[in-house]
Amino acid sequence: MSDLLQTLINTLAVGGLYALIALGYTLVYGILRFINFAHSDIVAWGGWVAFTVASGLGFLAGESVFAMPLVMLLTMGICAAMGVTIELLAYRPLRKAPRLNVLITAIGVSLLLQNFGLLDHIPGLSKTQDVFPFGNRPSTMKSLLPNSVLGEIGDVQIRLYDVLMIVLAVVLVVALERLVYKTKLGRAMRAVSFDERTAALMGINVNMVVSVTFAIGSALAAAGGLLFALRNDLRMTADSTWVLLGLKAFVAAVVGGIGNVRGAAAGALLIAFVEVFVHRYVTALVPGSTWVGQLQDVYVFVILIVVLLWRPSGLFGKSTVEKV
Amino acid sequence: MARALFADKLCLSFGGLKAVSDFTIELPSRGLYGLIGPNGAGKTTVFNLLTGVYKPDQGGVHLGSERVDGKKPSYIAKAGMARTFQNIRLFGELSVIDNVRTAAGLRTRSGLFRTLLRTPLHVAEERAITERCLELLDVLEITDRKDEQSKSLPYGDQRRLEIARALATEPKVLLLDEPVAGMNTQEKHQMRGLIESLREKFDVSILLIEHDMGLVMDICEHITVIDHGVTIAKGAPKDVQANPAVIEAYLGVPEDEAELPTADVSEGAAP
Amino acid sequence: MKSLQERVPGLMPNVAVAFGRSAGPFVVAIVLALVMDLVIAPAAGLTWTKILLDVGIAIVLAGSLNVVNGYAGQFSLGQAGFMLIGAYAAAFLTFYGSMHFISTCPPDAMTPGCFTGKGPTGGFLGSGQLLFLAGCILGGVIASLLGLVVGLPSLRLRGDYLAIVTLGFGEIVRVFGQITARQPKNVEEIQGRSLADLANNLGGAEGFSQIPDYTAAGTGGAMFFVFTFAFILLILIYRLKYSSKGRALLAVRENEIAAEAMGVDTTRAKVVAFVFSAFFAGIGGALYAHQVGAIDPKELGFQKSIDLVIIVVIGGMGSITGVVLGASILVVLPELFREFSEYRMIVYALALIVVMIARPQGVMGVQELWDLAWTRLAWWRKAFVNLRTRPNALAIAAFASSVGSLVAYKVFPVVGLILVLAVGGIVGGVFGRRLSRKHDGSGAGWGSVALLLGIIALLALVLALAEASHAVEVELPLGAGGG
Repeated sequence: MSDLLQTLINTLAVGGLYALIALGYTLVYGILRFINFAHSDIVAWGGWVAFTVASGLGFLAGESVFAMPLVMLLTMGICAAMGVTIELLAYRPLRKAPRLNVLITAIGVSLLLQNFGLLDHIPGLSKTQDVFPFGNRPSTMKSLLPNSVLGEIGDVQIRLYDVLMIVLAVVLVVALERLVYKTKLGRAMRAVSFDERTAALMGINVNMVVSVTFAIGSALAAAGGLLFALRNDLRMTADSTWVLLGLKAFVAAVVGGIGNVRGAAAGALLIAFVEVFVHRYVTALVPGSTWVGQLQDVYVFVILIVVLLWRPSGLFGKSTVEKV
Repeated sequence: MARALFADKLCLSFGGLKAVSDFTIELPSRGLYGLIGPNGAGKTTVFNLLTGVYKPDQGGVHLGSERVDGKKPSYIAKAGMARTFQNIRLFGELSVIDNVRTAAGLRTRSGLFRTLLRTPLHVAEERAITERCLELLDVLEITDRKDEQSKSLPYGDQRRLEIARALATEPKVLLLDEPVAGMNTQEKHQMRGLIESLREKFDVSILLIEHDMGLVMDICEHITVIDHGVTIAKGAPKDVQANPAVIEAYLGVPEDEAELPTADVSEGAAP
Repeated sequence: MKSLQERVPGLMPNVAVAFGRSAGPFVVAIVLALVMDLVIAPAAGLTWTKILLDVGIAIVLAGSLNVVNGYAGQFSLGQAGFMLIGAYAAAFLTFYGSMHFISTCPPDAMTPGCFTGKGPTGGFLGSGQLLFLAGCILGGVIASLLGLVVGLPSLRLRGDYLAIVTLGFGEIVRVFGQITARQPKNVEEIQGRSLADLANNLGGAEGFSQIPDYTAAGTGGAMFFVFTFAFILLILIYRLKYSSKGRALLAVRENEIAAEAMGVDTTRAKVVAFVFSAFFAGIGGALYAHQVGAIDPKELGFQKSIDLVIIVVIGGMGSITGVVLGASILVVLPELFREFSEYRMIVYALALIVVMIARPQGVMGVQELWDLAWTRLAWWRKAFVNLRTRPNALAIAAFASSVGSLVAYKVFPVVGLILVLAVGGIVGGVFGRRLSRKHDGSGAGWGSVALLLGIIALLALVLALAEASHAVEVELPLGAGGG
């Protein structure tokens, strides 16, 4: 029973992480109708920027209550700015182009972020390895957040990390939901997602809406990256860990209905559920199935393919009809 | 009875909106029928229903003796119904002649292997395609631009190209969606004669959507009028012209755009 | 008007003539491949032979990808998955199969190396090479079968979703490769088990190694095999492009709804393109595996697919010339500028972004070399006379400065060089974009050249900066031989 509870808590925590990242995918897709391939790299950069900020401010050495929130805010801010800049330089010129072109550009941006982060130093400048770029060796940030246990229910430990993740995810999802459905900005975002041209004619500043969307999505992604890096190794930017993380979040967004905030959260929870429960119980129940764990990378694709073929608009999404 | 096309009480709804209600038409061999109605009446939707882009909720489409509703557009094209598009859907990057050749490829029998091996059959078919397509371009009078990129063609020529392309599929029924839209009077006059001559030249029946009443009243043998998806009149041009329901459907349109089917805009004698 | 089929009988060519014209290019291709193997390979030396082999394999891989991404306009990111399948299938046959079918080793020297060592077993087109050929074909067939399985459901999906699904497929293949059983290296063990039993022993995460080096530089016949396949592929994709089937694919890319309305079964066309592409990707994988000598599933994942996509996109989606150009440049440049390998992907990524923004159709677009206006004499006459072609003169300047930069790099001081490079890059990029807006042939030609060389100039600029920082000592291994 306590095992079940622990698994449940894990699910919520993992789901929260996926939700943070999925929201970025879903918001951008809703507005611009394209899959931002580079989103998972913002997640990666989130982790590394946080690391850079934290070590720069000396937080990794000792413990400080202010460390975590400050680092998170700074990281989110920096990455939000990054997201906005990327949109401005790489995606905005292609606003009217076929969607395929933007996809290819996004792949280019993704590669750029990945490989730029791999460099040891920028050519021409003196060795600046301590700060930027990030290099091709993994690092760790665990000391930023104390691995303390907040309480226990029976055998189950309720860790600070899990609570933080869940609370943050819930708060942000709810806040975003309110933003999109109850504010003027949110109305503008929804208008742009329905019909960009008409929204512009109605006086909505489409460019601003798009920039804000990217800023929010990138900030959330950064938070996700930071939280992920706290628990796990901070792998190099081109490592498949980040790609996989982004992919799972993307699938979560699709399953929930891409373009839909609630859908992203629901999808994230579902994906997390499958991942955690399958890993926990199937590996235990089926003897000799160590390969089930290795298939973790793959199952998410299978889910995606099934969803796309059977119910492409996801759980909460709606399909669009092309005019002939 | 030689019925090239028979649509039997076609119905289609989008969500709660009924786009087409009980649309029926019987197009005889080598007939030239018209389909008119105010903007948004559902005319192109009818075309989409006939050609398989949409599947009708109710009703059937019969091409000759075969029932084709619910089939894919490529199947229906192969069965012998071709169309042009209101918004012009050419293969922009391809040359003019390649646009037509692409459609002509429907009637070849060579598969991928014959193509890659350049067998005699394939070579003969490709030659035949080029030969026929040049003749088609000639009929539509756009031969001199045959190697140009189709997207760089002037608007009127693009519409002609669409017709040539549709004819390349050797259809028995040809659906023309606003073939003279955007043309000047002289071009329209040329097109009028051309469209009429197509039936004899290609042994094809034609169903025409148009807003130019002069042209429609002049060359169509029979006209169906729809408004909001409902058929409000059917019959010979002079009957439809005088029909009060039809006149009412067209009222409310600004004076300068009024193409009320009253004045005799035609120059030549009725067909 | 007469129908198509009515005309066909009257236009049938003489069977013998048709056969000759059809077989001709293949015969010439085989002869050329032989020449490359017997004359060029020894003359070029090992380093350049390897580079040429890489180019040939890249042409097979990217050229087949071009059929899906370029002709049909469907974005597939899973080419590496088919490569991997082909690689495994072929290696399986040449490694395990050689121990079952070929018995040229003396009983007291039974090591895998005896079966799979340097040089073809049995000489030219001997049993070893035949087994290798069989392996390649097997690889192609299995890959194409999988292409059918994957393609049928997926090709109905829209652009970005198809991309993700094909990406997923590639990753699934990689993961399955990583969970296979270990590869036994003991000859007796291998001979003791049946081939069917060995089917799962593909090396797992360690990969499959000790693959006979039939297509490695230095092996006789390597150039022959690689370039025979490369030429065959080029011939086939040419024939495809200039035929009804090919036009149908291009139509699907241009306007799928209109294509469907004109009788093209779009799903079927896409699937056929996909299967064709998978077949040659499988062959490409087989060629690759026997050149490297080992298969590491991690190497043939998403990254490899992206490399191929980059070639197709930058070269020109739908252009054979573009693919050959792209494959050549994107294989040769990293070799020449090996010391900058960490910057390679960054340059590619930037190139991808710039191309998509400035010239989305790539260098060549859908056009071929012979479609370009400047390959005709008449254009040259006009260019020198007509002042309105002044932008072309600037493009020529970009061309000259870019080439000049690369040469001057070795001689002039860095600062002066940077200026020349910057000018070349900017002029090339800007005018490349301007010229590409024209629809007639004259713009397309020079714009492509200028932009392409603008990209090279950019690359050289990075190189110059690196040298300026004294971070790296530069040596351009332009000499033949060596290695």
